Amino acid sequence: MISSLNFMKSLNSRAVLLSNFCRNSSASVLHYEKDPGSVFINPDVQKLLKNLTNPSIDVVFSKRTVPDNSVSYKFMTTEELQKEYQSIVRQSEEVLQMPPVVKIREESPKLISKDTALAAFSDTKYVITDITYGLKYSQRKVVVRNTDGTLEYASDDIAKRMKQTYIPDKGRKVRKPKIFQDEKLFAQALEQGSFKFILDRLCIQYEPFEKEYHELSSKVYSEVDEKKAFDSLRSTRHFGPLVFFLAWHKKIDNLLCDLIERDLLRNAVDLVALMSKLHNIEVDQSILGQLGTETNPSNRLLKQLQDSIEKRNHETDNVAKLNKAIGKTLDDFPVDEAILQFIETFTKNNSLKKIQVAGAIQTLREQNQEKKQLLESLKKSQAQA
Amino acid sequence: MAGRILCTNSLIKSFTGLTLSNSARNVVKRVEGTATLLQNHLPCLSASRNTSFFNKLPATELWKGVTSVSNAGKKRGRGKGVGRKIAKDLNKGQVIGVGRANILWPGLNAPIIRGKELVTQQQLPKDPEREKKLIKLRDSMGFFRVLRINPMDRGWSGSKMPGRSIGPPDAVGEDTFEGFDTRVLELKTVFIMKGNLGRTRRFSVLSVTGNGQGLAGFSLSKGSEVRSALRKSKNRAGQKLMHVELCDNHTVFHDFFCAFGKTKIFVSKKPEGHGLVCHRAIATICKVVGIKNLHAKIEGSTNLQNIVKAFFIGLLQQKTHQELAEAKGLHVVEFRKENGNIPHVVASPHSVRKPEEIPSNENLDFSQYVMGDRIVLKKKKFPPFYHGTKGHDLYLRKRENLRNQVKVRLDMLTHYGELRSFQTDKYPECRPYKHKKEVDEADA
Repeated sequence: MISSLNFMKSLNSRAVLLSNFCRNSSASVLHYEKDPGSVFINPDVQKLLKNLTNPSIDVVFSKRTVPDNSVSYKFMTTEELQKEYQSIVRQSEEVLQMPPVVKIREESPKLISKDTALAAFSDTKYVITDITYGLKYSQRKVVVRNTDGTLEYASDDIAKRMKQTYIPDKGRKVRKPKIFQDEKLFAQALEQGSFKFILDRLCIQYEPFEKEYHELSSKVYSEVDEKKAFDSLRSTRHFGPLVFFLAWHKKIDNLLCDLIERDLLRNAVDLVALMSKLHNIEVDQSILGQLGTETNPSNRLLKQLQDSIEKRNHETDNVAKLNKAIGKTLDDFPVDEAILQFIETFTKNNSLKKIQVAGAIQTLREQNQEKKQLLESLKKSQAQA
Repeated sequence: MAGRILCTNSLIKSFTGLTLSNSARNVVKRVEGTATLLQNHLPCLSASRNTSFFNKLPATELWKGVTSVSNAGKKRGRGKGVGRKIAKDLNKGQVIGVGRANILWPGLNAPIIRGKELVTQQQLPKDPEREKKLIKLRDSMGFFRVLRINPMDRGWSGSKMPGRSIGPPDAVGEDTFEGFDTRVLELKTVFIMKGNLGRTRRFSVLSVTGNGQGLAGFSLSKGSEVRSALRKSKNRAGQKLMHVELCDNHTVFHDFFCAFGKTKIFVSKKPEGHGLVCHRAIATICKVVGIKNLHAKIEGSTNLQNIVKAFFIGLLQQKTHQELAEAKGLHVVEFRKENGNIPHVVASPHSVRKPEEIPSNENLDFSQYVMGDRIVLKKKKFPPFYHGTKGHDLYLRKRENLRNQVKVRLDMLTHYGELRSFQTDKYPECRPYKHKKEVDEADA
């Protein structure tokens, strides 16, 4: 690398400056050294990531701009409503499907045939694209007949451009959008905190194996981690890849603090489990038994939806009402304590920001203590009444 | 009859003031030339009458003659609006005792005794401004000046009252109408016959008042003057308030049909941002009630009073979501496209019916149910008359290869900052003209 740089220095000082800039900016970007694909699609990892996404119906189906924002009404029986809810949950799974994390594909020229007889047949290259209807992106072939008569597969960028020209993907541009060209614009977008927008745009514009996709997305993930803006991506399809990225690079401390501060302890356990899975860290598995029945995120969504009917079905007893207001029942406190201890033991050996995590744990403990006292005193007063 | 003998000189003078034909002018010239010789030989008698309608009729009659319009003209609507002539009051600005000759008259335009001195009559220096002021004052009279209304306060049309705001109803005792606004919907003259007075004219005012939060009332009142009729109508509207439920604080709860007399109104609920697309009277009522988005189509008579009555009946007959849910024994579920069409339960009855309890022939369509099983006739939209003509076909064919031009231009402007072609690099001078900003010399 250095020798090549020196060589360039003698050629053109401006080019050196540029390449230095590029090198610096890419040096700060974290890369996957090994292929993360096989780990990412592991069902256990997928399950943990989906749990960590912690979808809420209001965010998954948040208000968006549509050409027709009309409202329609229907009369429905409870049974019909249940059916509708199930279809919504299925829909949400589709919406929340995570963009895959795979390694960067290295390009190598693939020669098909060398027909010297065709040399000087034309003074321009011929690009031939398969435009058969219904092919997948990866199945569609693009080949190039060079002027020297060789026939080879087109390079990735030529193939992408041709495919976009003939069978355009909605939203994808043939040219790179300005936001990904201009460092300033990109930095500005990051500054504004429009992480979801950038990541959505990245998913449209790039294939997951492209180098630029990796660089730009890792910049976004690092920024989210730095700003602790995890909530802006929670309940979106990008939260899984974000967590995977952070766990892979052992940078989960901020996220762990955030989860504890927001009292999402089950997710914190999932995060620790993910870390142990990725880095073969020994953790005490018994905690999982204490957490009781695991609920998968789809079921949780369904429950959220069904609660909206229950809410209207009035008269639930006062204790349940109180629990809802406080957000916890008396049974939750021992489980919380067990989880906190589990996290503490984990951070002792595997954390760079032990003090921050310990602080977050301490505040949560105090809050729990207060809530517990409140619940107990209320229970007592009710018993007396 | 008073007569006077005029000498030839004065005769000639009076002639020279007129335009004459050439031959006549020659005659006069000759006469002029021999004036001294003929002076005593050609006496001329001329009768001059000092009475005319000018000094016989009073000023009011004279002005009437100039400004009034004949009966037939009146019937045709003449003498109204911009060209209308109005009598000038020539006495305006004139004071007794003050005239062209600026003279001090003690006892008339000045006190008799000033201090201990006796004021005497005296000539004051002439005031050249006086005449000018008088003329200016007279010039300002004689035409009708329309009072300027702020564009925001204007009604539906011109300077007419309908659509204009006349403020909140007057407080009754301690009940004040804070936040209320009253709008005139109709103002017209009506006549009634009276035993002693005969045909008497009155003004009828229909107005609607409301606080923009669902409280509104309307009333029709008459008065002998416009102002009193307006006040009466406004105050009575304030005494007839009704409460209308608003859905999400911006629209009606559901589509509905309402009618009064021959007037039929089909009202449909609209999402936020749609605005009021309806008859102006309905729009005015909606503004006063607090409805911001709605569509209404009137079928049949557009009699204003009937429209108002029908629309109020419709508003009051609306059912809230909870009432609908109870009436049907089913959940009322809202679907918003902006939220990905996820079901959102807006109202549930106390006990929900099971599917087997619902008869097969029951109408479960929400929009049909709230419209009382009516279906709005939506007329088919026909293609424009030029569709399919030779010229239009040609136009379409010519446009076809330009159909993406706008998009391409936009794309080029974002990427290159200019419009280019594949030959721009080869021929850099061939660029569309770009207007250069003028640089100030001072800046340069």
